[in-house]
Amino acid sequence: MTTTELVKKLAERLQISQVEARTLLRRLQETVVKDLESGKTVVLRGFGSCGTRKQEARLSFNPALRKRMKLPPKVVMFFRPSQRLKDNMAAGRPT
Amino acid sequence: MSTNVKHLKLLPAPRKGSKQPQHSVEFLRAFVQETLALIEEGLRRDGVVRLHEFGTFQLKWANERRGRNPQTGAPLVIPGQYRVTFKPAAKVESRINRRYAHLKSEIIETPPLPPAKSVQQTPATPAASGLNQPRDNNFIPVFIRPPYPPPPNRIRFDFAEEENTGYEEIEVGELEEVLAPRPVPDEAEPEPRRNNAARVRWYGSFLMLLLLMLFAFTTPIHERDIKRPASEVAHSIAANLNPTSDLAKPANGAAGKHETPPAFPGGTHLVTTGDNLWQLSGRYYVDPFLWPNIYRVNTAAVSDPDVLALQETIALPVLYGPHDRLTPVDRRNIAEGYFLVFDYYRQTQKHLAPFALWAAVRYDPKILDTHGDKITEAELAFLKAHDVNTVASR
Repeated sequence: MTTTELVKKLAERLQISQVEARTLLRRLQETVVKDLESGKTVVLRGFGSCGTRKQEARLSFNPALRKRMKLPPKVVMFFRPSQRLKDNMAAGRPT
Repeated sequence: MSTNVKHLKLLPAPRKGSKQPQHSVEFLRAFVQETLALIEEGLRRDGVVRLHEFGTFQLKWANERRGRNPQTGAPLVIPGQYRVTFKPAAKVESRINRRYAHLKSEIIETPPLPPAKSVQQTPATPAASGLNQPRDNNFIPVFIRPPYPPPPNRIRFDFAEEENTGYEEIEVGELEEVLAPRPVPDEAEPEPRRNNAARVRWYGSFLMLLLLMLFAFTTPIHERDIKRPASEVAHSIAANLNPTSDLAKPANGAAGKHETPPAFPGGTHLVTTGDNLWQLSGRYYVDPFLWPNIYRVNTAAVSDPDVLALQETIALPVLYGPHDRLTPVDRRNIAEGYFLVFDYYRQTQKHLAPFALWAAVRYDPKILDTHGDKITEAELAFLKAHDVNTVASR
C-alpha cells in the first residue's frame, strides 16, 4: 500500500475530497515528526508508539574503504507496535 | 523527558487566516483512527505500507528463539512470528538527527599487525594435514582487528571443511597454534555426542518411514461418498440377517444351544471417515482377521469389501466364542465370509483370490465340500502348495 492508495481509501470512507485527505495526512505526519524532533514520544492508542533515542558513537568497519571507522553519535527513531497490533500481525498476511 | 501525545492533541487546527477548512475534533479523531486502521489493513494485505516522506511499515518474520520469562526466569521457546517494523524516511531521519548532523565519521589508520604476517604465510606452512588446516578464504582479513591487541580479543574462524566443528573462538595470540595441526584429545569429546544425535535422528526418521509404509499398505480402503436411502440399507440388512437365508441358518441354530453369552452380541455400526472392515473387526471382535464375518452379512450394502461408503449402516453379526477360542459355528461363518471375499476377488483382483480361499479353508476345511464345485483346478493346486494337510485329506 502506498500513500496514494491510502489517500484514496481515506477520501472514500470519510466522504472528503482526495486533496483534503492528502492534506490532512500530511498534517498528521508533520505533527508526529515535529514531536519526534523535539524528543517527545508519540503514543497512538491501539496502534503503537514511536520516539527517538540517542545512539552513542561507535567503532565500525567500512568494507568498501577497507578502513576502520569511528562513527559519530546519532539520533535514531524507534517504533513499538502496541500489544494489540503485535497480536493481530503475528500470523502475518493471509496467503 | 517523553510526553504522551494522544489522538486529540495531534493535528492542530490551521491558523485563522489560512484557507484550509476547519474540522471538528470528532472528525479529526475519526480521521486519525481511520488512517491507522487503513495502515493495519495494508499491512495485512500487502505486508508493507509505504508513506511518502514519512516511512515504511513492514511485516518481518522473526525466527523462533529461546527466551526466559522475565518474572520467573523459566526458560521458554518464543515461537516464530511476524513483527511490525517501521523505517523512517531519509528526510525524517535527517530532521530528527539535526543535532548531530555536523559530525562526520572518521577513518582510523591501522598499523599492520604481527599476526598479519602469519596469515599471509599460511599457504607456505607445510605438512599440515588436509582436514585440520583451515581454509584461507575463511579467515577474517587482518585489518578488521584492532590496531593494538586488546586483552580478550577473539576472532571467529569457520572451519567449513569439518562439519561438526562449526564456529570456534580462538585467541589472537594462539593463532600460530591454530595453524599447526590441531590437538585432537580436547575437541574429540563433543563430537561423538553430536554423531550419536545425528544417528538417532536418522534411525528415528527411518523407523517413522517404515511405520508409515506399513500403515499405508495395511489399510488400502478408501471411502466413497455414496449415500444410499436408509430404507434400502435396512432392507438389505434384514435380507442378510433373515434366518431363512442358508448362510445365517447355522448361526441362528447354534444360538439356542449356547448357554454362555456370546463374545460379541452383535449390533450395527455407522460408517465414519477412516472406517474399514479390518478396523471394525479389530474394534468389535478384537481380531481384525475376522473381518469377512462382517462382510458376509453386508454384501448388499458393501459391494467392494475394501471400500465402505460414508454414513452406511453396517450390521455386525454375533461372534459366539472369543477370538482365540472360536466355536465351530464362528469358524463356519468366517469361512463363508472368506469365500465371499474369494468370490469377489476372483472377478476383480485375481491375484488376491487364492489367498482368500486359503484363509477360508484355514478357518473351516468343510467349505471345500459345500463349495468345492466352484473352485478351479489352478486354485486347488495353490491350496495344495500352501496347505497340504487339509487339502490332501480331500
